[in-house]
Amino acid sequence: MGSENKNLKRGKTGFGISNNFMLLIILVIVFIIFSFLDKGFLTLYNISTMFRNLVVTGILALGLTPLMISRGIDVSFGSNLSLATVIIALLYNSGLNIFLSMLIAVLLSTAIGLVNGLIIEFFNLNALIATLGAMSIYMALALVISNGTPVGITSDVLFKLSFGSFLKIPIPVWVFAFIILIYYFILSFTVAGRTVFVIGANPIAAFSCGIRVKKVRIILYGLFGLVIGIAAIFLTGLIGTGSALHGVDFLLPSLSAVLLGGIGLSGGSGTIWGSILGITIISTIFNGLTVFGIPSEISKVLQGLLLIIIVSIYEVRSKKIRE
Amino acid sequence: MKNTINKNIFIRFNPFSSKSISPTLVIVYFLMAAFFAIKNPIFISLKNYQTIATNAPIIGIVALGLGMVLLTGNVDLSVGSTAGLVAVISALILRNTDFPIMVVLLIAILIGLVIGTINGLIVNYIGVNSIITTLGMWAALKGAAMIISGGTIYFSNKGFQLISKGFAFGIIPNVLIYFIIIIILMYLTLRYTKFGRNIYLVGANSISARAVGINVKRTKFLVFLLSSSFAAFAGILLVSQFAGAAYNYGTGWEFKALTICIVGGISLNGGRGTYVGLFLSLLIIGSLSNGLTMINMPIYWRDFFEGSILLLAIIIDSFRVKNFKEDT
Repeated sequence: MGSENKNLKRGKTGFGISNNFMLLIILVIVFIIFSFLDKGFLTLYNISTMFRNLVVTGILALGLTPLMISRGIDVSFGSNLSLATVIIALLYNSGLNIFLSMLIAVLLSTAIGLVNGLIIEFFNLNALIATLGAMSIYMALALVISNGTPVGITSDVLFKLSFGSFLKIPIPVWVFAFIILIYYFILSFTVAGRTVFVIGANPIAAFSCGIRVKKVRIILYGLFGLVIGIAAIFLTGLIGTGSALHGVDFLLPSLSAVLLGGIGLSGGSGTIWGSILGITIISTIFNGLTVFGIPSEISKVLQGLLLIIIVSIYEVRSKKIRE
Repeated sequence: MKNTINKNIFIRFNPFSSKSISPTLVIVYFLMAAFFAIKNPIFISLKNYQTIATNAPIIGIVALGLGMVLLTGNVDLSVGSTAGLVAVISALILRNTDFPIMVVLLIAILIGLVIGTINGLIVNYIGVNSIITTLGMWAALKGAAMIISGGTIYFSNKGFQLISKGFAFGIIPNVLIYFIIIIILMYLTLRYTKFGRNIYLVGANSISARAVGINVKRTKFLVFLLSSSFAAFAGILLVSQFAGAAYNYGTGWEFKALTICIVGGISLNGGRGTYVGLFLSLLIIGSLSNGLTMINMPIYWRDFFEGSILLLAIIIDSFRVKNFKEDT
C-alpha cells in the first residue's frame, strides 16, 4: 500500500528521481552535444540569440501549461498568434500608433481566448476537437484580413523591443522571465493557482468543494489568449511581418514542450519549470538543426515524430508505474 | 434462450436511428441548392453537377474512412497528409518508371496500410491519444511529402488520367462510381457484418464491448487501416486528375472530411451515425464549396465559412449526444 503511493507521487519517474531533474540532465546532455558539434555554441552571443528566438515558443508553452494542468487544452493558439501578428502589422501600416496597435492586438487575442473558453465550457465540448475547429476559423480570418499575403511592418519601437538588450540580456528574455515568475508565483503560492491543480486532478471533487470549475477554466483560456498577444508582439518584431501562415509552425513545438515538461493530457500535475525545461530542450534541438543547415522539411518530420515519441514514453512509463 | 454460437459473420443489426439526422440534411440541401440556384442558375446545370461529382467524391472517400475511425471513438488527423504523401510518391513513380497502373495503385494502397498500421499501433497498443498521434503523423508525413517532392511533379500518362477523369456512360464521372461502390460496401459492412457491429459497440461503450468479448483493440486498430488506405486511394485519384502532384496536396482535407462526417451525424463520441447521413452530408458540403464559388464569395471568406460550419457541427453534435444520453 505504501509503496504504491510512493510511485504515484507527482513527478516521480521510474528511476527514483524527479521528472524535472531528469529533464535537466537531458538539457545538459543536449548542450554538451551541441557545443562539441559547433565551436561557437557556448558564446554569449549564440546563447542570447537562441533564447531570444525561443521566447515566442516559450511564452506560448507557458500560457498553455496552467490550461493543460486544469485538463483544458487549446490548439488554436497558432492561428490566434497569426491573427494577432496580422492585426499589429495592418493597424500600424494604416497609420495607427504602434503601442495602440499592439494593445488592440493583445485585447483581441485575449478576447479570442475567452471566446474559446466560453464556447468550450458552455457547450461542454471536447476541448481538443473544438479548438481544432476554432484553429481553422481563426486562420481563415487571418487570411481574409491580410488577403492571403504577409504584411510587412517596420517599426523602430518594435525593432528595439525584439532585438534590443538590457544588461546584455535580450529584452524578450526579460519579459519571458517576468511572465515565468508571475505564473510560478500564482500557481505555487496563491489559492487561485492551487485550484488549477485541484481542477485538473479531479474536476468533480473540485466542483464538490465549491470551486467554480468552468469559471476558472474560462479565465485560463482568456489568460492564454493574453500571453498569445504578447508573444505575437515579439513574433512580429522578430520577423518583421504579420502573416497568417506562421502561427501553425508553433503548434507542434509548443505543444511538445509542454508535454515533454510532464504536463500530461490528463492534467492535475506538472510544474512551470518542467515546461521551461521542455521548451529549452526542444528549442535548442531545433535551433541547432537550423544552424547546421538541416532543411525545414526534415525539421517538420522530426517535430511530428518527437511529439509522438514524447507522449509514447510518458504513456509507457505511466503504464509501468501502474503495474 | 437458445444456446447457439453464431459463427456466421453476417448478422442483422439495426443501428439506433431514433433521431436520424438524414431528414434534416435533405431539407438543408434543398434549401441551400435553392439559394445558390436563385443567385446563379448555372448551379443546377448538368455541367455543374458533373463538376461537383468530379471533385466531391474524392474527399468523400477520405470521409468514408475517417468515419469508421470516428465511430470507434478515435480521430485520424493524418488523412490529408497521407493523401498528399501518396500523391507525391505515385507521381514520382509514374514519371520515372514504366510500372503499370495497377502496380502504382497497389503501391499507393500499401503505403496507406503502412501508415494506418503505425497510427493504429501507437494509438491502440501504446495507448497514446489518437489526436496527438495523428497530429504528429500529420506533421511528419507532410514534411516527408515536402522532402520527397521538392516541388511539383508532372507526368503524362493518359491511361492513368482516365481513372479519375473518365466518364462512365459519358456523363457519370468515374470517381463518383468508385465512391458509390465504396459507400455501399461500407454501409453493408457496418450494418450486416460482425465487424461493423463491433465498430458501433466499441464506439458506444468500449468497456461493455470488452465485457461481451469483442476485441476492442483490434477493432480500433483495423479502422485506422481503413482510414489511411482510403486516404491513399483518394491521393491516387487526385494525382490522376491533375496529372501531377505537389507537396501541398491534401492540405486541409482532414478538416473537410471531419466536417463531412460530423454534419453527417457521426458523433465525435463514437458509436453513433450512419453512412446514409454521410452521403447526404457529402452532397451538402461538396456542393457548398462549388456554390460559394458560383456566388463569387472571395476565397478566404470561403475558408472562414467552412471552418464555422465545422465548429457549428461540433456544437450541434454535443447537443445530440446529450439528448441521446437523456433518452436512454
